[in-house]
Amino acid sequence: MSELNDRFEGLANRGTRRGVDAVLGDAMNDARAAERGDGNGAGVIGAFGDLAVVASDPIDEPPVVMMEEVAARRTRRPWRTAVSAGGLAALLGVTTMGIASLLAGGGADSPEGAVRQLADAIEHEDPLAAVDVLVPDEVRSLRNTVDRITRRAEQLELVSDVAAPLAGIDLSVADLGLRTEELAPGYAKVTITGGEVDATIERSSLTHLMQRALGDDAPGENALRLSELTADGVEPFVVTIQHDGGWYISPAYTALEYVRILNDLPVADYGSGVAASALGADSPQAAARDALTAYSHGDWNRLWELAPPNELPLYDYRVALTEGLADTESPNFTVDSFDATADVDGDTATITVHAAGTTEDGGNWSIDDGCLSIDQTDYYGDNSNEVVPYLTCPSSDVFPSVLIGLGGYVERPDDAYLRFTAVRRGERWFLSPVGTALDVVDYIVANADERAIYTLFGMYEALPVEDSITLGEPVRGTAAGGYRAYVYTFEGRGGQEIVGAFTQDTPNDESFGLGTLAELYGPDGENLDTSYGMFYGEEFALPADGTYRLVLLPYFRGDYEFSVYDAQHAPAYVLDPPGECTTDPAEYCADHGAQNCALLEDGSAECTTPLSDTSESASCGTASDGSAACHVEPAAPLDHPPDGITPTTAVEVGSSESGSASSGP
Amino acid sequence: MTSARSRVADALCLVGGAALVASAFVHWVRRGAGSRLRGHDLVDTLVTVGRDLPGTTSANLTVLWYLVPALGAATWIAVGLTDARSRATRAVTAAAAAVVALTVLVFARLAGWRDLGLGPLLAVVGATAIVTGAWSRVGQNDHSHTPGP
Repeated sequence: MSELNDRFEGLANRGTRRGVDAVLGDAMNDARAAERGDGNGAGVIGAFGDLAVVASDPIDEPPVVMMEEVAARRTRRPWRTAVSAGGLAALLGVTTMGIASLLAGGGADSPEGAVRQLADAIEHEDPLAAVDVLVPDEVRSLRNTVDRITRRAEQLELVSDVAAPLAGIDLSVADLGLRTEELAPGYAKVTITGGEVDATIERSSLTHLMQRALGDDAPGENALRLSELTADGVEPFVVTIQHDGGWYISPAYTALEYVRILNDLPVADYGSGVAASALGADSPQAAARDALTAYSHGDWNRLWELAPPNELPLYDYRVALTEGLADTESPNFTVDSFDATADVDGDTATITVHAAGTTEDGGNWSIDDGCLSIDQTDYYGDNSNEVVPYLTCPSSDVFPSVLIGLGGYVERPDDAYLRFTAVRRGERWFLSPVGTALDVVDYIVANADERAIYTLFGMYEALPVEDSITLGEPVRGTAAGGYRAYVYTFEGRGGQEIVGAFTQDTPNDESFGLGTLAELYGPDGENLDTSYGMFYGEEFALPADGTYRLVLLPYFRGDYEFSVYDAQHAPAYVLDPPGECTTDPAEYCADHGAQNCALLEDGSAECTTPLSDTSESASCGTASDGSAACHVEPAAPLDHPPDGITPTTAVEVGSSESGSASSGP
Repeated sequence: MTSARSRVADALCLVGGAALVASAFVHWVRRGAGSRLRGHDLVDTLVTVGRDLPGTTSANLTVLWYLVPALGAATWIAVGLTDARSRATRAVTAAAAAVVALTVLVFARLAGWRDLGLGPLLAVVGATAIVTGAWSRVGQNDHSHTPGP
């Protein structure tokens, strides 16, 4: 190693010190001399000690070629420069796209573009993309609601994938024809002049649950011609508005524009609500109080001012709406006391109202504890025309239990449906109809359970069996309320006749007179009977030996007890239950004879035998001890009640000694 | 021969880089939620519908998605400034391959494998091409012409 170092040292110190140009020049000269054969021997152009400086092969000139190659590499080829420039441009483009995406407001480039974007979202079965093309302020909460619905649907196995909730439904929009008409700057009406929506259901892509729910009668392909969706000769249209530079479809403007056109009302003052600064109220509580006060004496204009103009533009349509309500009388009630609490979360507030006052007739009304109470003349009670408070308690009333039965009776923590959503726009507060409605929808969605869904689709075989019935033995259960089925099984023999008895305990009178429907399924799964009769003395003959399923649909919340008997061994009161009192007992008995319904001295009635003439609104049943309890909930009033008033309380005209109330159809 | 191999490597990197860039302009989800969206709107939507991944946020998933086309563009820059087999290009392609693999896996988790669209396919094809160009033995003999250090 040291010898090699010495040689390198010798090479480095040979000759005289010169500049690099002189060294390279001499080297080139030596190389050329070697090529001419001027050196010492072939290719030897110099020596240092025993080291010969050898020229390269004439064809291969390493030193020279190497220098040229380096020079050549330093001169970039044009295509590489172009590639670098292209890459740089692409990088800038991607970066710009990312930043623009983060800052973009969304929407479409034109009114027609917004409609086509919606059609595209429909065609690709993307509900969230469809929501994104709607005016953001109008559907601020809708996205979350849609999301909650799809998530819940996945949990309940209505859809297989929350990311593709409409999988299995193949939608296509073809030949969309549009015509745009400007209503005002930033407001355009897009009329759909042509197009067709095709919907095809692919059974194999549906969840197992949905396939079973659809049965063998799944619809195939359906086509809808959009141009045929006319209302009173008005072509289908949507209203689009410009928002942050993009165009969006406005459901609210579209609905109000339909109302205006179909009722031949004056043109709207588009955008005036957003431009006005004095709308709304100072606080959520003030907004609620002002709305109630304005409604009480028919100050419609104040009501329009309290709706968020960018969510529900009632103010823009104030002239048209006020003209449309010109013939509507105001409710004329007073607001004597008002108290509201607001739970504020950012720009949204949830308001719970407690208020009271007097009605036009001098009666009292109040909103308290989640109930609306209004004094009404009682047309149905023992003391006819007595003024009594009628309660509408959404947490336990017929409205949520039936109309939104999927939500059942699960009460809210604040025990009130009577709460409202307010939103802040700038420094002003408005009542939000959309937020209030979606709040209820969210509640229903959150409380829809498997039992409710299976019941809704009639898929009782998917429900768990509550219990196995031993004939003659009582079975107890608890109904959660709403529209929910409970399945029981029992062993039966061919030719055997069965009959049942049913009692229920509904402490808050949440039966609504709807009773309990019984459905009987045979060993082969065939529906043999669906009626209320089994628990009202009707005997049913079983067709074959095997396991039967009895499905109960109790329209109430509370505990129940029932028994199924072999008719040969059934108690007498089960085979011959009390009858039903459907209207005024005296009138009923006069019509049907004392053998069915007896009028007692105290004015109540006692029913002793089943009636052939049943009424859906009757309310009689059998207590566990065999005594009778009768209520009157007439199907038709004895006199005409005030418009819009529906009785919800039962008036007892007969009672059992045990006091165990029961009800039937 | 060696020059032709070098051109093949360059071409693979250029085509692959272009595919990565192009993936940003096509749909990553074929159907359902987000099928009409790209970029942060797409990520937001997918996260909104509940397939979020532990330890990740919408923001960093968005950055991951944009890194795919950005690294495609960076591959072009590297090839243009050096060549397909330079250390710089290899570093970029390695990063691109890792990012593409991660992004596709994330989107497969978010949207489901069956519903992945053309975007992930382009990204995978692009990543495969640039890795092949930069790392495989295609054009390996070109080193005989490369000046030493």
